[in-house]
Amino acid sequence: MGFRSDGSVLAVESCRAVLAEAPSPFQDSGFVCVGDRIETDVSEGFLRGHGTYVIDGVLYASVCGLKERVNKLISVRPLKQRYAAEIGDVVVGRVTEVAGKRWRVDLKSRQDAALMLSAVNLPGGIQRRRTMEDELNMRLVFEEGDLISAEVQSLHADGQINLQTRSSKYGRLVGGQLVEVPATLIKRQKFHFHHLEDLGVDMIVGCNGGVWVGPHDAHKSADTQDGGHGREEAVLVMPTMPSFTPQQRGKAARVANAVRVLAILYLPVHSASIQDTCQAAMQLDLGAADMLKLPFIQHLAEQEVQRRQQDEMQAD
Amino acid sequence: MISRYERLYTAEGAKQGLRADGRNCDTFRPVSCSTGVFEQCSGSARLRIGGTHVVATVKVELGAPTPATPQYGRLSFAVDYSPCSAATAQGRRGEDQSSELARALEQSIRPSQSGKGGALDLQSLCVLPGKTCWVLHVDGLILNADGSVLDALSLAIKAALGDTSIPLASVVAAEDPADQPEIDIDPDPSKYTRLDIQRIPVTLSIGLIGGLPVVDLTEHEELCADSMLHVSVNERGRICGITQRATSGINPATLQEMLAMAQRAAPKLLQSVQRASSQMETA
Repeated sequence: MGFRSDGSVLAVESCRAVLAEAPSPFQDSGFVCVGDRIETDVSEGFLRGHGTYVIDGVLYASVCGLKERVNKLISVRPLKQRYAAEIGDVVVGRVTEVAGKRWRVDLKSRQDAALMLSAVNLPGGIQRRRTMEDELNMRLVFEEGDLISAEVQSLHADGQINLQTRSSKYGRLVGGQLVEVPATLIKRQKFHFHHLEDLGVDMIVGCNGGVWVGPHDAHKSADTQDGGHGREEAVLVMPTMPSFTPQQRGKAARVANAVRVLAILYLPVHSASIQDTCQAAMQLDLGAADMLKLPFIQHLAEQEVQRRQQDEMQAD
Repeated sequence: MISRYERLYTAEGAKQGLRADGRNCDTFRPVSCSTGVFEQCSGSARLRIGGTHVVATVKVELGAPTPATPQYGRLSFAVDYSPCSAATAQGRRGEDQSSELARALEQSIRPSQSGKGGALDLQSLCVLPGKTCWVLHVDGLILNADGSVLDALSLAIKAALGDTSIPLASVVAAEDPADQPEIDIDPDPSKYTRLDIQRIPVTLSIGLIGGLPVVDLTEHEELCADSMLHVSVNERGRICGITQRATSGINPATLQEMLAMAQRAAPKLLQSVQRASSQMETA
């Protein structure tokens, strides 16, 4: 037996190195590293924002990232950070605790988010009063460990995030898998719920980096057709897990692996990039499991390099 | 933490032989390995299985053998979880987990009390019987935990031991016969001996998901598993040790099936690691 010494970097790193050589989409913008001095207009003065510090009236970056400026306020947006919530974000999180009148939800943010009992849909109409009985039956709505999709309703000064699921498109996620990617890779878009018709896969791209992928469930989508406002169930019932064929499951695995590969290469994750990745695998006639293997990762990295080079040529 | 629906989805996947990432029940995630990654120690390896990323190092130094085994060298094992490798790795729980891993690895390699048996020939590590021997400090560091940590560590340790170079030591009698003999270490770094790692087993974690045995579980799948079996298998496919983790019991027929699976999978895994490291070399 001989593990042979190679002295070189591991496989995945070699692919990342290929990307690092490619032209960067952020060439002219202000990329700064920790300790870099940030030029400020002295006559106007400046305000110190996030990711910066001041020594003797000179501004420095305290994180690696992109310089941002809003009037006098100068801040640095880090390249990688935990999820920073914004109002209206669609998120995929996990219920960690059922507390009085609220659920605690882990969004992989700096602190757990809260989902108030008053911010969910309960049987019997939106306007209904929340009674003591509802509070006791909270586990029927969501229990510990449940994955849910929700929307960020409000943010507070102390960093507290409040969620809401007041639409039947939000709520408990059943029959699928969660893929977690760094939140910084997720692009905020108009739509975060996707139905990939050619694959028969439903996908929720949560802004917090939680990507939910599951085979399309025709029964559930009929419910949400009306925008998710008309459906009211008389009583709370635990949903049953739909059964999927291996074909359906294989397609979901394909989409999930597309997300994983994008995360390995640290490329943006959104429905277009995910679909492109699936297409690329299909063209090469690769199975779902092969999408996580080195040849395909290399292929994607090279494709991305080519794309950026073309973009650069066009820009010139 | 995991929801009941994820558990059902994973279990149904195992039954259909198609897991969440498209693998079959008996396939491993891509493995990559490189050895000789640190200059400071006698042998080292870095290994990835999917998202799991570990480093193993071996440091060789001269020490005294234990009074019980004066003819043999010594081994010491330690495993550390990097605090950012997993949410559970922080604080006291991480310490418990890492000492459990270190013990499991040590048991798969260490000889019996008498010094005989075991996967390493410790007799070859003896320099001066009863006085001086080589001590191998084997350390594992888990940089990222995404399931099958023990599998990754055992492979990395095997690779690191294979990379270990032990300096040539010769015993020189002192001028005065009453004095202790001196030990002379060859200063030439190109002269060394290697350890024989042929017999060192690799430890596979076989999980039982929905009643079916599954190899190389991701962190998510480990949460879904009813039971886990760690099976140490050597290159020839012989079983060297078994430990069980998690709560639910395993019935004998399933146990046989899991062991057979480990015996089939281990040589394949070892081959793929060897291939991965030799490919890197030619590339």
